[in-house]
Amino acid sequence: MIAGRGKQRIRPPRRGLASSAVDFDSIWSLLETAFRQIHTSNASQLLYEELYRHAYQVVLKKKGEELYSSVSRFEHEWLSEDVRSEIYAHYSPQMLPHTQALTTSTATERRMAGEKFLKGLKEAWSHHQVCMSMIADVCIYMDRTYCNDNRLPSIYTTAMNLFRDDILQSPITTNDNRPVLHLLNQVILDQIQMERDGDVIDKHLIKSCVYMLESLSESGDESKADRLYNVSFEVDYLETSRAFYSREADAVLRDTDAGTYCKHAGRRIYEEEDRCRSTLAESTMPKIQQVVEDELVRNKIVEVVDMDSGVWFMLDNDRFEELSLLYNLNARVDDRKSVVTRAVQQRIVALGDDINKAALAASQSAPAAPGDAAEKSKPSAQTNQQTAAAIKWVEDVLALKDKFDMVWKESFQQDNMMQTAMTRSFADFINSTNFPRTSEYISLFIDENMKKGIKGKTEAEIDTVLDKAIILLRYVQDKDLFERYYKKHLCRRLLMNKSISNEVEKQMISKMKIELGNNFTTKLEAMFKDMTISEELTASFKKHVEGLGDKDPRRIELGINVLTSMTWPLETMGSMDEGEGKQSAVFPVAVDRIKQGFEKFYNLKHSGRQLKWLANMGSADIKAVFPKVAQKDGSFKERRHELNVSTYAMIILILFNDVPTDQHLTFEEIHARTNIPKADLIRNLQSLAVAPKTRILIKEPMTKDVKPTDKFFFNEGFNGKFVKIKVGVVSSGNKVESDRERRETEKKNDNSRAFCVEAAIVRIMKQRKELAHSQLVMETLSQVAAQFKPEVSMIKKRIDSLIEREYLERIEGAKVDSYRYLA
Amino acid sequence: MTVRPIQYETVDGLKVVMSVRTWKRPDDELMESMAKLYGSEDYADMTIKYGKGKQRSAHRAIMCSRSEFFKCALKGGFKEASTGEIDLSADDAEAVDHMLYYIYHNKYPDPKRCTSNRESKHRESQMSCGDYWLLEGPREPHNMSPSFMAAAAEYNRRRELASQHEHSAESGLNDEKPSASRRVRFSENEGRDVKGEEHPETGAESSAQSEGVTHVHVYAIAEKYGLEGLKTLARQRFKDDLPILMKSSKFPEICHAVFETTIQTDRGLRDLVVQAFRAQLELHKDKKIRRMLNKTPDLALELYDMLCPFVPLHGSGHRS
Repeated sequence: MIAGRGKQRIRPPRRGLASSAVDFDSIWSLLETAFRQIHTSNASQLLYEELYRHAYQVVLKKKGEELYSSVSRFEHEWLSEDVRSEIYAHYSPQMLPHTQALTTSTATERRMAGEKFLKGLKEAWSHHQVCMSMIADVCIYMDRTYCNDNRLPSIYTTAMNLFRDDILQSPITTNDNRPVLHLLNQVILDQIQMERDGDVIDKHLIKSCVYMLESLSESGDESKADRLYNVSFEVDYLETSRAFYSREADAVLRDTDAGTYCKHAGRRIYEEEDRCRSTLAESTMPKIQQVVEDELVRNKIVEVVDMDSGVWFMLDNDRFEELSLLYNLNARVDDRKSVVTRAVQQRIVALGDDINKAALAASQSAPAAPGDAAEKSKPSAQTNQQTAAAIKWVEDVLALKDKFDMVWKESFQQDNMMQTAMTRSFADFINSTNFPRTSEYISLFIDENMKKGIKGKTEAEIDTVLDKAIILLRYVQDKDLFERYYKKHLCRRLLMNKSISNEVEKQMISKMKIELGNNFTTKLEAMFKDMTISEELTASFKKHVEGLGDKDPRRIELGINVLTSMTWPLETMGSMDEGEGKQSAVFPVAVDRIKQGFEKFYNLKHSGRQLKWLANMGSADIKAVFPKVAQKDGSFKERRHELNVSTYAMIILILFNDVPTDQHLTFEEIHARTNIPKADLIRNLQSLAVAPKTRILIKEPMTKDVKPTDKFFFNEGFNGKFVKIKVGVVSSGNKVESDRERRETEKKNDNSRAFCVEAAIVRIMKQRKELAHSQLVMETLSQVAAQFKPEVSMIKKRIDSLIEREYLERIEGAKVDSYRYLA
Repeated sequence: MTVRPIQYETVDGLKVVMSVRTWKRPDDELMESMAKLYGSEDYADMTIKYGKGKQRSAHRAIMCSRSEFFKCALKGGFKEASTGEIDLSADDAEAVDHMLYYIYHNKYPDPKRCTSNRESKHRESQMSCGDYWLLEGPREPHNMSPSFMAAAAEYNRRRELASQHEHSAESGLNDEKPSASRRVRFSENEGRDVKGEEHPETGAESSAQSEGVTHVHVYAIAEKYGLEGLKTLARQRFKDDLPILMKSSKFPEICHAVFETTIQTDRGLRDLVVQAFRAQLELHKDKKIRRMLNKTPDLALELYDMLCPFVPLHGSGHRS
């Protein structure tokens, strides 16, 4: 009974689920009919369950392989017979460019024909996709088991690849050998070219075709590398684009200027980016960018920059926008923007050299024309001219700097590398060996402003002036030379009370301190300190004299400045260095008495200090009484004047106190009685006897030159407009040095540099004990860089000198030249 | 959270009144609402026809997301999409029932009980609430007094006995659950497997025997429609019942069904059968088995392969 039941159940229970034999052919014919219906868009009456069940059963009964190959074969036949003829229907020879001689078709016709072909192909493809997804749905079980177990691609993938083989890579007709894919590429490229020429094309349509090419790969596996899009279309696209842009670059360069070219190139690059987004694939973007950048920028940038309308033209005409475009183009192909940077640098140096030359020409034009005689007689005019040249130079450089700062901000996106390059170029021309006056000019600029320029300006304005000076100072390499000049100019300003505001002076010093460091300003500060101490000293001496008791109505008031000799650049003040061996000037008795009084007083306070009197730097206020003598204008009365004269002039004038009115003193006599150095004497006599407004003495003969035989009379008829009269001493102001002076200055500078270098070498060697030559040079350079940039030959000389003096010794037998420090 | 008073009388005549608090788990909530949809007309947008003229409403959202077959059938193009009807009458009706139940409950019902329940829809929906909380059991047994524990255990035991005669009690079964619910399950398993006081041996065996083929059919339909989880459950049931099935007279029939309804590479049930043959060499002598082997060449071949384990065929799947 039980057995019977079992037997009964073993029989196929229901509807052949368990029936072992499946008639594949009948099932397949059923499926094939259904598939054909699907392909002809006639599937709405098909029952999915039924198809699925059949496919499932076939696979379950180990007929998966047959099913798989049957479906593949069916699709192959379908594609190569039905679909291919459909594609051909959309083909027309018109759609291709350059089809032999029959280019009768207009661009519009060609575009329409191309679009028709693309549309046909796109529709065939999307229809194939839809149908295959339905067929694949029917065959899921086969995909899940048979394909999976045998590592075969899913039936959908296989069918897609069949589309590639049977449609895209097959010839369009039996007569025409060109594969469809080739035609497709040609048509798309043609359409893109039309768009580049300004036509409107159907981007969406092309994008669909691109999607198709992207989803198919050459070998059939899923890797992205050999997608048809990449291996077929993209290659052609990049190639034709390269040719096109190469041609276009030449044409545009020939026809337009640099600015227009930049605009054009920028637009093309943007267009290609946009095209990749809207029409092609994003993955092409970097590649096509590379092509466009190569052809429009990389290969042409040098040419564009150097065009007549290139960077120089743009800079000179403030074409910020064009410069910015050019800069951006350059930045695309070169992170360092070297081409534009180079052009900008060249322009800076060229403009800077112009400024240098103009300054030199201006400063030399005066002394060039007149001879020696005129040079001495017209020194003030020359001074002014030279100072003016210096100031003009500074202002020109600052204007140039402002201009390029503007360009940098407006056009170069405040690029750091560009800034560095520009700074280097400024430093280059400012420190140019052809123009050695930078330090002096800057110092003069400050001097001029301290004396006159800042009068009546607000604090903020003064600040900007000072800042400008600092900006220039940054570029200066030889800071020590600047220091020397500055000290000299400052010295004059302080001693002669030329400075408008002590506050501003101190402000300047503190700015320099920030910029150049403590070292630089200590001496300058010491100068200020001396001035303050001297004021106190003067005051306490005055008190001291008052305390002495004997009220002398003719007492002379003494104002004194005690200067520390190491701090002040006294040698630059004139005669002292020359007259080392000479005696100092003979002071009038009254003056000499008070001088000695002060020396005594000072020695009480600071014993052991030696005071040296620098009469050439002093000044004196004297009251002069001119007797009743008939005037030119007929008035007849006594006149009193307060004369402010130099110390030497004072000595000379007091000499005339003892000379009767009609008597005279010769130059030789004056020199003998005063012992004033000749050069100073000449200058003082010039200002007393030659200068028209302060002619207190009369000279015979009346020439501008002072000769040893000249006679001098007291000018009784002198008549000044004011009670107080200042007798300026000729050429005592700060002015540009003559060449001879500069050579001296530089020589002195070199000497002090030598000490600096030696000190640096010893410091380094003391620490390192042994060091190779090249390294020692390097370290020395970097140590003194803040102050100046020494020549390597100078360092070598210093090393030799140190070896001579047995600070160092050469290491014998070392591979490279090396030194050892000798303690 | 629900608080429910329970009145209960112990064997000694002691009356116990207690209230049980239960916190609902989010997963349970989901399962409950899914279960409510099962067979319901609410929101239904498709119909499944099966067996002989049976039909059940279902929901595309649920069916299509569970099985690729339904997704493909309904996503458009074919007739099913427009009519919303899927005809599964070619499949074993009982298996379809199990599949639909599984899709909505994520469970594999006791085949026999499910069959009995099929007609009474309202009882099924009651079940989902009625027994649910109880089987959930007290969550934190250590928080409760010993007397409560004892009472609860007793109560569970009785409910269990009662439910075996009434309807499916296992709807609340869940492996993670501690205490009472697990205890219920253990006792049931023991009962079915071997002796078990509550289950008369004969009853359990006969039900298992009749269910054997059903497991195979459910497994096949799960494979056909791509429900891996259901395959797992069906296989587990099959495996659990296998010792009884082997003794059963239906074993040849079952073996034949296994090899007819699965593809060669699907080893789920096939391996179990082959192992059973290996463990039970006497089967060799059984005439009915031999007759079955005659009709089931796949099994015969695999048994032969089993004899020569050290001669590898090409590949693991050894297809012809």
